[in-house]
Amino acid sequence: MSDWIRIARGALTLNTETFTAFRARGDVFFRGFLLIVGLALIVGLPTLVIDTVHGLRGDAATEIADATAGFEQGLAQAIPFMQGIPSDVREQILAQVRQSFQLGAQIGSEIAQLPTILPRPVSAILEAIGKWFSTPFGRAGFPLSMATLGAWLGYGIWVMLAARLLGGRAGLAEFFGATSLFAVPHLLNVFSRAPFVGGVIGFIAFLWGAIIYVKATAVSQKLSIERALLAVLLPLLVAIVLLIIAAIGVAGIMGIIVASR
Amino acid sequence: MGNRTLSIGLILRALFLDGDAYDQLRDDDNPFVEGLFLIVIIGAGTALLHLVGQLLAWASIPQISAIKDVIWNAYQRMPWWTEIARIPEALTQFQQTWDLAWRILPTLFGAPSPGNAAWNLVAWPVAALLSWLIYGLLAHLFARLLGGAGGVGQTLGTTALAFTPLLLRGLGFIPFLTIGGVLGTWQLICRYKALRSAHGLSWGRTFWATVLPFAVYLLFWLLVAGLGGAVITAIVGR
Repeated sequence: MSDWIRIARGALTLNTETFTAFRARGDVFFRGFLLIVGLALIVGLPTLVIDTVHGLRGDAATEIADATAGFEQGLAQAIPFMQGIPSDVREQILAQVRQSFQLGAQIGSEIAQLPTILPRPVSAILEAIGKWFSTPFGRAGFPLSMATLGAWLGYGIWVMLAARLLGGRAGLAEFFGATSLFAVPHLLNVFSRAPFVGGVIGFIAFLWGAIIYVKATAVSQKLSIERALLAVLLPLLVAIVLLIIAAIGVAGIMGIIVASR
Repeated sequence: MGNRTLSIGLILRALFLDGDAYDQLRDDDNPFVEGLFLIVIIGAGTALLHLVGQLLAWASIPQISAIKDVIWNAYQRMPWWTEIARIPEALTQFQQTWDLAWRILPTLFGAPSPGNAAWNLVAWPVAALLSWLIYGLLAHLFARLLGGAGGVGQTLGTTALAFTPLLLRGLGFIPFLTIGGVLGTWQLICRYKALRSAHGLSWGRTFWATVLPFAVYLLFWLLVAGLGGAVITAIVGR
């Protein structure tokens, strides 16, 4: 345990020796895997507790009341953006949206009362545990924004390729093992449910993790920081360029279709 | 046949990208047989564990038919229902679409199905075998074209180790677990390791030998889609 704490501290303070020593371990990929899985499970703990408590309470009426309150709040926030719509049409739209939500809530409530083979509390606990164990396998919406295996391997494979093209010399295990350290600051996401500051904490974790990722790429691939930064950004830049080209292509095709009518 | 090279330790080392594990299987007297054994074990073993998880999940949720009835009854209380119910043809059409959707959508959205999970006991090993053989042969062909020195048995033996990430599907005994696409990426990384070990190529050539089989898959599916489109056009045009 003290070894892990020392590694985490070294990673957070961008200590080159920590990265070099971690990279040199024979089981570096396995350790990286353990780090990502362990951190993702720790970060998912509050959700596990909340889901389990909700499940054990089995209070569908309260859950639906909470959801309805959230829905009404969201609707109230959306109304200022609907000022351009004539008031009678707006009221009609809002009434329909409310009616659909109420139908959904009613269906949810009735389904919650249907019988199951296993007792409801057991089902709820199993569901919460399944969801919790799924956390490490999730994918990030934005590269490196979450400490999951999907973010680590999915983006890493492209960074590895870019780094190699830029003269990097790391083996797969060394590179992936070292870059797994980007997950350490994501431990802050334990507080991501905190009101007001949750989003800020998530952003700090992301930035800190990204800096560690660049450092790990530089150390493992034996590249300069500038080249490592380029290797980390290159896959994202290529993806953005491809998206822009695709968007222009789609817009062009639509333009041709519209013009030909 | 001589010694058995495969062991749990070797499998775990291959999973965690230990190059020696791939070299050890490459140097076996019959890597193909070792690979075949591994693929079948992974396919059947993980399918069995997945079946346990599906049974637990299935027992944890209400019957799909009961959920379907709840929604159907709720629809009948909606104002638009009277509009549909007034026209018998529209009602029949709606009901047909409804029944069809309920046959397809629950499976598509991952509703637990012990029947499908039981079928996977056969389907997963067979699919893994086909995937292993097709990919292995194509990768061997490209590796040889790129100057690789490995034998076909060595390619198949080492690429069988690239199926070790699928062992994580065995965690499917935990109900409601979703693993996602990460195993495919992990498998690709292992395939690179396997081909590097079997053929001793440079990293660039190994990269191409690893990804070119996927280009063949893409071409194949484009061809199938094109042919399908042509057949449909010909039928519609008659």
